[in-house]
Amino acid sequence: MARPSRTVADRPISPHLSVYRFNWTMAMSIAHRISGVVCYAALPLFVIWLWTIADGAETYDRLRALASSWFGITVLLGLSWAVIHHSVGGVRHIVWDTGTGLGDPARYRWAQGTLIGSLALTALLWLGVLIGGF
Amino acid sequence: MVARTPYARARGLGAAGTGTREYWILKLTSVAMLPLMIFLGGVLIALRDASHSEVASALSKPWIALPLFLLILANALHMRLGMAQVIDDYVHSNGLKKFAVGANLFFSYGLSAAALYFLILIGLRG
Repeated sequence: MARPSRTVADRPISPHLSVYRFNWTMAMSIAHRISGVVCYAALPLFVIWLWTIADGAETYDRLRALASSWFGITVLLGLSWAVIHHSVGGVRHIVWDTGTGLGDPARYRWAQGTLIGSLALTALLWLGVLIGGF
Repeated sequence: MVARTPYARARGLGAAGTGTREYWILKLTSVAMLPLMIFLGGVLIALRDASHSEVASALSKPWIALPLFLLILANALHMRLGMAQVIDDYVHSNGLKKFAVGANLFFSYGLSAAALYFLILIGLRG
């Protein structure tokens, strides 16, 4: 049955940035989007990697020199975090899609776990590469 | 006159108006990319001190080239659909939206085609 039209104006408006208050699920939603856009913008780097290999040793060595400079390592560190964060966030979204982990404390634990997980995995990866030597 | 509430008219219409198929492709490609991305990370780490000829010969091996090929394909669909959501959410002017949708397609598929081209080129040279 249709409601009287005067109730329409009282309905909650669509939430937007200025209406939300901070919480973990919101922060990780934004982080998921930002990390996704970073991965998106990084595709040219992947193409450049393949292009330098196809082009020859001289070009590839120049890319290697750039990649192993402090600038290159900083970019790769940030990019690896973006990829890992987006991946962990993707797993969380698939868990949520099944209907699990959406309860009151659970959804905030999952959101916090996304950040902790992505930071821990990125740290482990780089400790392994730079110190552990694998 | 049709007796429909504003809610009934708005129901099912997100920013994009449609999207079950896009949602499903986004999920499938994300599941596919999880192992493939780990594979790419492993390849990059394994080859980080390798010479150009070692890298080229590794990338021309089918068991390395094929997962990378699949990764490029899955990623092309995933990045286009992901950016489409961002465009749906933030770009509201009709002209700018058309431009953004087109630019997204060219960027995602154009660069993915370039990646596939170079991967095949490396493979054919052995």
